Amino acid sequence: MKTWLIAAFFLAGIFLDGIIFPGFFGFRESFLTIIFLVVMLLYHKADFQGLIIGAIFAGLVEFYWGLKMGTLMLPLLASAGIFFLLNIFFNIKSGVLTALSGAVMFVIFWEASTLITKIL
Amino acid sequence: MARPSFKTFLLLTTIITGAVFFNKYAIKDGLIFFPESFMKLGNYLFIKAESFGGFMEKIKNFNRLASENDKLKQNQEAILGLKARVDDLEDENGFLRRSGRIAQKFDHPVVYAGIFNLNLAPAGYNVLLNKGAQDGVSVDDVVVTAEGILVGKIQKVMRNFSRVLFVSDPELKITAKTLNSGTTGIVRGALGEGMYFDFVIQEDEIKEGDVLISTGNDMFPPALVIGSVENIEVNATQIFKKIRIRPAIKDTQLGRVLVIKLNK
Repeated sequence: MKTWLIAAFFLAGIFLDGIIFPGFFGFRESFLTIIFLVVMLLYHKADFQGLIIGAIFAGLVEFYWGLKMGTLMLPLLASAGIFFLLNIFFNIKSGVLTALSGAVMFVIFWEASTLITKIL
Repeated sequence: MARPSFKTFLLLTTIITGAVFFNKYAIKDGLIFFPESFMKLGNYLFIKAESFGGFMEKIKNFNRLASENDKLKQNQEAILGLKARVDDLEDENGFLRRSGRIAQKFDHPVVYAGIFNLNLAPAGYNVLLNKGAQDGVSVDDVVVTAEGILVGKIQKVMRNFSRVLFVSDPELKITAKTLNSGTTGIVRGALGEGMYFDFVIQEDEIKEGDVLISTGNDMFPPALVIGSVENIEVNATQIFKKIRIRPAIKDTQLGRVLVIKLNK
């Protein structure tokens, strides 16, 4: 997928997440942006492009949300690290394994972010 | 497949960790600011979305509203009688306040603000306000709606915007009491579940539908509406009741809010 298209989806995700879901639907517990970051990393299989784009997007979200620097970028790297680790032990090719590793990466992302927020 | 990018991963980790430490210790979180036009646009869209929406809530609340309407009709007559009594008490209270030189409620400067982002982040709710340090907002100021419903308190202030610790965030705790029985306890946020009313013993009088307000015994001003009792679990083997609260902000619009400046 082209980078500009990913960026467009990302911006649409932030817009849906922060304005449309809570404003229009009254749904205030959306975390679409975080899911997007993890799915994008998984889609790119944490390759060079995926890591660079992921880090830039995570940085932009930190900037937009007024979070401390590293609150999302470092968890993104932690979930990429988990992806590398899972690849050592499993041959992640089937859809089920990909979805499972995505879920594990998401949990790691979330927990790492909570921990880093406390540290920073 | 994934191995070739491992070096990139290590390099990125080093660079980002370095940048994080540089930002934290060298420039003291100086990298945070937000363009004014983005906030204005965000808040405008949020208000528009709210005025068109509330869509799912309307569907979800339809049955609840119908039964609530019946109850409200029954309560209307009782309220009329109470209103007369409240008027009398207000006069008396006003006199006592004046004579005791007690500051009137909300005798604090107020800043009109707007929410331009609301979602869930790993660190809790991410509620952003379009007013910041340059508008006189400071940490621990209280955010309410125009109806006096508690939205939260200011958690972090940047130059031109700030983040609110939302009322249903697990980090937020408020001493509260029920409007009728005066049962007191501590309300804490529970994310999507709303809130819980803790430290209410089994003997305390409380029932579903009771309205909870702030007591004013902590840093929140008194008489702010927090929510209503949604569910009560009574277990004779436990000391305390398990009480779930429906936050009042669930049924209100949040596009425009007030910041009560407690730190003058």
